[in-house]
Amino acid sequence: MRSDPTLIGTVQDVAGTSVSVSLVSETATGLSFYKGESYRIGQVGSFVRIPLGYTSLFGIVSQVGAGAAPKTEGDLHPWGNQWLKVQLVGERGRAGKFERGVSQHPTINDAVHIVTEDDLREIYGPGDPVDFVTVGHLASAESIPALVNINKLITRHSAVVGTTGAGKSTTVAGLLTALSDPSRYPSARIVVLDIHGEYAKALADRSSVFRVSTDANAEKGEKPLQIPFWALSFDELVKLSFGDLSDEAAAVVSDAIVALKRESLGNQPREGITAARLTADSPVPFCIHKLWFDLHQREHRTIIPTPGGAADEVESAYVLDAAGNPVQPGDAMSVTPPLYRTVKTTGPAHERVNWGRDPINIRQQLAVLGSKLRDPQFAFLFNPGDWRPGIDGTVTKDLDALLKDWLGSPAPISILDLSGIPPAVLSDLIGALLRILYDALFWGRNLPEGGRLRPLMLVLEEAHAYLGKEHVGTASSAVRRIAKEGRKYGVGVMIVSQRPSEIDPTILSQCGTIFAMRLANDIDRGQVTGAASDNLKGLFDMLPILRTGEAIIVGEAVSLPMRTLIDPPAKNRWPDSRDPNVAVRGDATKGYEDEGGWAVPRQTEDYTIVMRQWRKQSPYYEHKQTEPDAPVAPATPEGENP
Amino acid sequence: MSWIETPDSSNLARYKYDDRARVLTVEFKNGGTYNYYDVPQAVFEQMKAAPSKGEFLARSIKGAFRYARV
Repeated sequence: MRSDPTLIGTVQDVAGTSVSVSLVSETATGLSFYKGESYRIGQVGSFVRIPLGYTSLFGIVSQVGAGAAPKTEGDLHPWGNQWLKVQLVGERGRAGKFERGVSQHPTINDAVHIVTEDDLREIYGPGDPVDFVTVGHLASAESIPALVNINKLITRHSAVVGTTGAGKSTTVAGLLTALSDPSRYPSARIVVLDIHGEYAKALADRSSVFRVSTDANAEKGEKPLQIPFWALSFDELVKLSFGDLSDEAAAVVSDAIVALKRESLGNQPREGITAARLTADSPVPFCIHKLWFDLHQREHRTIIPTPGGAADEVESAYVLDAAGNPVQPGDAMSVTPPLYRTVKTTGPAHERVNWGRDPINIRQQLAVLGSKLRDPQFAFLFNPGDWRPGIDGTVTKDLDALLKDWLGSPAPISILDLSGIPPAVLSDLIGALLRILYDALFWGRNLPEGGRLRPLMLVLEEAHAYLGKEHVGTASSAVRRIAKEGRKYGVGVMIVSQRPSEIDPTILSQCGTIFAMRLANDIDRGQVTGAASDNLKGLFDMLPILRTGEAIIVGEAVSLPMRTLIDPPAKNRWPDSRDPNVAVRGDATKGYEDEGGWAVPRQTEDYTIVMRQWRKQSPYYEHKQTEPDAPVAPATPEGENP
Repeated sequence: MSWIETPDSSNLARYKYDDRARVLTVEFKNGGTYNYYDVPQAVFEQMKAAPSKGEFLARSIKGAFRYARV
């Protein structure tokens, strides 16, 4: 019998960070007991400890094997040569504190021990509890909480990756629940860009929800999401409104915008900016309807030439009615173009109609802008409620009200539900949104409202949809900027994706902490393994066999990579991404576990309601109450004769 | 209008009834919450009296009243 139950073998071979260990023969059962706990020996991914005087080296088992069985009887190793390959990861010094990296190497015949729960507690245990947040517990030892350094998690960015169905959304909801715990972090500040509208329910009591939808559910305390176009920079605005503009046209449009902003500033002066310092990028309101109208006029106008008159003394050639008034002089706010007469360059002089001066050849782009201004789907951008500038460029509310909603709401989490946004503009719009948030926190960095003093975590759901390598959109560049310099100004991102290989590698490599959940795809796995700062291939080989809700956390926020079961939120607070049940369990006598499914008789279906919801672009059913006195006839299931 | 917990039921977590709007709201143990519309007060009273809420729901409410996921 071994004198020390934790001893499992001796060092045979050291090469760089890789150590070969020959197991002692008593470990053949693969099980060892210490202080009443059983430990499995030689589990890939488990830890071992190699004491060297006062310090202890720690390593992760990456490979296990056995040599050929002995040929002669009475051999020293009746079970053959059993060995482990161990990757060194860190050491515990004299002070008893675990640190990454090793200062010395083991030598031949050094003893190798299992890592007991006490050791694990010391390794993963917190330096100062305030810095650490519990996100779950170790998969190998349920009694040990999985602690994550919140400072590093947020400022050094993070990524949550995993196949669909690996429990990503639930994990994110669990993490956000832990991070927004009002008793520990009453001033937490998290903004979730929710592409599919999943999180409103999961984080109901801790979040303000902003939704792009005609009927933001006021009953649930949801607010409409408004993103005023005038908060965007010139480039962002051009992308979202005109599409592509040639350099010449862009210069003209930019000048026109500056002129309109200057006019607006004259009507409603704002602190911090003067007309002289105004640029097309300044967040100052202007009337985009007027811009459209002015440019439309410039492009489409026909004029009646006045012989002998000066070049600027021209008369617009409106289509006139019998009384001599223009039939349709046009109106900026309702996006109605004026009606002009067609060009006529022959015939008597008084009948002639010429083209207007200086067209800039952006008729097509203007038509696009015009239709977007009228499109209710774009109302959140171009007609943003109180932030919609009047024809003189004045607004009821300034951007501070918007920032207060998003960043300064009483709830720790703001969910910006982008599920109603046209997919074609999603990337550009997210880029603009992130830039607005970042600029606000960047310039306010010395203020209590700013990012340094109240850091912000941005959660980017389904990031592969807009941060792809092939997307050169504004979203990638905004996230790249935050990933690179956000740390200094207290803005961190958490990227959530099921296809890490589709995300721009420069962004993923900036994520200091990675929560890797089950990943089956080879390419995706390669991407994660490559991006992780720890070179622990052995651990990442486990990615395809992780259980649902289990994650390997590696990187700066954890002292050692850990395989963790993330605490899910309570069942009734799961995100809305649960797969529908095709067959619901239960029967008519016991009742069913859930509503719907293929296994139960159908409801009488009414597709007019489906159309109503579709046209309203809203998933929220509003019931039209029938008369209380009307007899309620039980519906007969279709296809069944009563 | 407050929630009535159903700890004894194997499928239902709780339910409530809005007598003005005549909406019965049922929350299942697995997280799904549904509104059943135009449910008469009498049916709600029957449900309260029913020994097995799950069975009552399956027999008398499912298929009889229009519902929507909340």
